[in-house]
Amino acid sequence: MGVDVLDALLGRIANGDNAAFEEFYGQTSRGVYAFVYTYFRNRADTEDVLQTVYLKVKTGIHSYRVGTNPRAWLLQIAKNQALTEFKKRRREVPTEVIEIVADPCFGEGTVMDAMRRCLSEDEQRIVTLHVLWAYKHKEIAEILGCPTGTVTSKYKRAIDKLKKYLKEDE
Amino acid sequence: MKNLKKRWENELKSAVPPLCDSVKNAEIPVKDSMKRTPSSKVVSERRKVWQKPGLWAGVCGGVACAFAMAVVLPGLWGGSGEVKASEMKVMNISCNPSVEFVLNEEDVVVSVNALNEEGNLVISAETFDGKTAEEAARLFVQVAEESGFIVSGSNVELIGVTNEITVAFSGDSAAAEALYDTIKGEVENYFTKKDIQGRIAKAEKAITEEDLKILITECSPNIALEKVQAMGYAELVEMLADARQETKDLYSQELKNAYYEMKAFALEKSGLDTVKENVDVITATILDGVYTPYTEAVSAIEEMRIALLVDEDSPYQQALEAFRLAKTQYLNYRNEVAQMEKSAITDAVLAQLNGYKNVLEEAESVLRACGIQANEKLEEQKEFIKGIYEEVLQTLNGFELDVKDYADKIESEHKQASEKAFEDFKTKCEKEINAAHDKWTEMKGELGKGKHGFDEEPSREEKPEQEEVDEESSNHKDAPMEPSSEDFEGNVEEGKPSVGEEESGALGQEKYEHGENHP
Repeated sequence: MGVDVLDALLGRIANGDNAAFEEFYGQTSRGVYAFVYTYFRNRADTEDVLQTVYLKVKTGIHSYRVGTNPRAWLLQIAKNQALTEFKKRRREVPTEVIEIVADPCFGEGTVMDAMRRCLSEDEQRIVTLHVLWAYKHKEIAEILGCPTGTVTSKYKRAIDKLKKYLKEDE
Repeated sequence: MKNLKKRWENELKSAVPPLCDSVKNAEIPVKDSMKRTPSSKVVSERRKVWQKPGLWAGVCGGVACAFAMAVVLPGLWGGSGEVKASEMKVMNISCNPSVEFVLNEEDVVVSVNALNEEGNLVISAETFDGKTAEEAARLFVQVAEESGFIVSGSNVELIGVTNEITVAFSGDSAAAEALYDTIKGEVENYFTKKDIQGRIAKAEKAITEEDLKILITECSPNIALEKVQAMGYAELVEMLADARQETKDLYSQELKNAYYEMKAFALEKSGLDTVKENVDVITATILDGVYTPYTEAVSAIEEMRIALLVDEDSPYQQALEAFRLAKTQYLNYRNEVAQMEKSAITDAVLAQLNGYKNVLEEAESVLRACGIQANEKLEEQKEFIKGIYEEVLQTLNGFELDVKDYADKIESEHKQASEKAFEDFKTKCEKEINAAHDKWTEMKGELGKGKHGFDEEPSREEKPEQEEVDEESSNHKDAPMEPSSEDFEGNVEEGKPSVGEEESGALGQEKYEHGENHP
């Protein structure tokens, strides 16, 4: 789905079109889910945030200016919401190390499991933004607020690790 | 490792839940029928009015009032009367360095101003414009920490540091509360990450409209009081943002104040210049008798300002230099002490710290005294100019020239002259502004060494990563920027992403990062 289509959908949502909203969710929710998952590494929190993100899309639809950049707008909402929730949860969580347990939905051998196990949060975000959101390294650098070189090197390292991990599994 | 992307998408397809009912059934809010006038338009319209000197005050006051009522005030409220549109606000963050941020409707910083000398140091170190309030607050704390105003380590109590940050807002209290919560989370997160014992609290008193009016009259001395009194909240905030822009690189309070004072004279003089140019030759010749002393006095006060405050050899600049040096030494040593083992903090160490503190306090009082002295001299000259100005007006009255009526007749000429005077004044001040900026930057370089030892370079949080990248990027400089077939096969290499396939463009993203369209 292209930027123009997303832009048009947002335009329709702004005019109160609920069907457009559902279509928008269908088209974008996987990318948002994968991005938000990098903050929480568990499904329950990710799902909570995902719903809140789309609620904000609906309630804050008039802050989107048609003809601009729907992906960036959506990603910014997702990022803000994930960070807000992440901080809240972080304050609640005890400081001892929490062991990563298997997620029944993303069992061993899945890409999500591999990402969670062998990539850092930053690496997961970079891979997600590059592969699912099709952002270029330079754009990712701007989104994450780090140099492009960092994105490039982290991406390369992440891919190497993923390859290795998944190969071992297969 | 084939079709990893497809595999991943299939996993996600089964994992992503459907929309829950509460989201699905949530109402899409009705769009405001009256959109707020773009702030740039408001600012540019207002700037034209604002740059007029005092003799146009009556007319300007009326125009501004009507303008505020016609454009700004309705814009503050949604057309339906139910939804209040977001508004600009002023946010002060203080922890000894005190900084004022003006935020636009999307809570993005549009203007930064230091409220004390320490604040000048913080804002000289980083660019805050364009950052969200949350990012700006974090950056403020980060720079304050790097500069030694906020201290990490276990000895903070021992050296009498509280690391307490207060935040104050203007405007709608509910919006301020929400923004405060976000900022609080961000700052506390930073404290936790850096192991800083500190706290953040909301200031007991919010920034009121009266406070804004005082600030505006301080930084725009040529503006008529009645005009300021007539302004609504939105116009006050926008005017403040605009006024602050001019002096954003003057990193000293005295220099800023003097700048505003001189600007007032430059604009006032441009008004009279225009009148004089437009009267007949005989009147102009007679007018010269009082007008020449007036112009000479205006030039003299500008020279005085340079000699008393701007010249490197002036007592004020010397005192400023000494103050900066003392501040650097004290903050760096305090940081060093904060990082020491408790057993290493002997009486001698504390005495040394106190010694640096005393030197700093002494330097600060000398600086203040120099500032006061310079201001007193400028004040004398100002009174002198006011006296001559009155004489000029009386002479004009003698010719039955009502300055206000005359001003109306030649308004367009005056407007041009006023704008030109303003530009000339800014250009003239550019050199000193750059020099001031360089000095503060230099001092910033000196600060923070206490944390790393005096011989080491201060490090920013990103620095190790940058170094790592530099090192690695030299290894990977031939590495492709895009995923290759070795990485992911399938849609990506064909350039078909899942979430929007066209390139968004870096600029598009930057817009959001900088808060435009920020939801």
